[in-house]
Amino acid sequence: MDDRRRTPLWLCALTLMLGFSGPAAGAPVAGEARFDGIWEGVITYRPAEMEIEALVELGFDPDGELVGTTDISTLHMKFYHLDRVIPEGRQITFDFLYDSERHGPNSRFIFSGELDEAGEMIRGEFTDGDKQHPFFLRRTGDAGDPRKPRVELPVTVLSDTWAALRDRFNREVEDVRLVMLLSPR
Amino acid sequence: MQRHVLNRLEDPRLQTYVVWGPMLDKETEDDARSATSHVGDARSTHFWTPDHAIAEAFQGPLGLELERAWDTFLLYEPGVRWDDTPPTPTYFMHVGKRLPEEQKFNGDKLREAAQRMLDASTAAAVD
Repeated sequence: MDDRRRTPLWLCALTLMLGFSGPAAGAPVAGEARFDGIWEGVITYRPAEMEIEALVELGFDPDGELVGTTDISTLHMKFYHLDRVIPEGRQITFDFLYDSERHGPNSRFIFSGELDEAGEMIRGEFTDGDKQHPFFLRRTGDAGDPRKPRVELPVTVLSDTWAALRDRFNREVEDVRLVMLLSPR
Repeated sequence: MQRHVLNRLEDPRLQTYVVWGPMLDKETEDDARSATSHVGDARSTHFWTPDHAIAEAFQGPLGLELERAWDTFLLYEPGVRWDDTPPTPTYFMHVGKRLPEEQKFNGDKLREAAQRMLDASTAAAVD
């Protein structure tokens, strides 16, 4: 992967411990659109073919400005710094800089969306180069909440005869079976 | 995959076997363990292989001449057995291979193909 910008640890600590500890000056009052929180959803490049899971965490810094990070596992991003977070009414834009193989170093990738009336979903367009792709993000928690642990499953190392796979395949011969040959990266 | 196929096809008669391997020549067993969280369905069984042998063994059944069978999704109807060599799938999809465009991976189409096999299996059991 290209060299990617990582969120400095001090910024993570500052935003999570101070900025996300509660309402600060500039935080929305009752009735205003509330963007702080953890948001999880999908960027759809090609429906049912290429859909990227994304998580965005937005909170307030000590000055009451929205800041945040994003996790995009397919890009090996976790707590990746958002360069700009710009709310305007129920609209919001946030973006990150990334060394893209296609678009070059420090390319800007932009989420631009609108918060629904219930305040639980942001829908909009994700800009990757000169293309836009629809995305949605659903509120799943408060800023500062720990990430849900990813559950890893047991992995059997195949012998050179693939016996474990073959035996399992034949043992379940009465079922419909889906074999997937994949790279984990 | 999880979202379009496994989450929407809850039939316990669908079994999934994920073989993780070094398609890019740099993946590790730890990468495979980490990746299992992306296919976390209870019907899924995960395997790791450190070489390309199984991807090469599936080239013939899929009609691949030059490309290894990484990034493929192989569906088998009930009754198909794996004897000495990997069996030809009843239906399959691929990513980026020199194979028919209509078999390019699409989660919805793969789900529909699996559902047809499950329905046929139900019908056969009733008859």
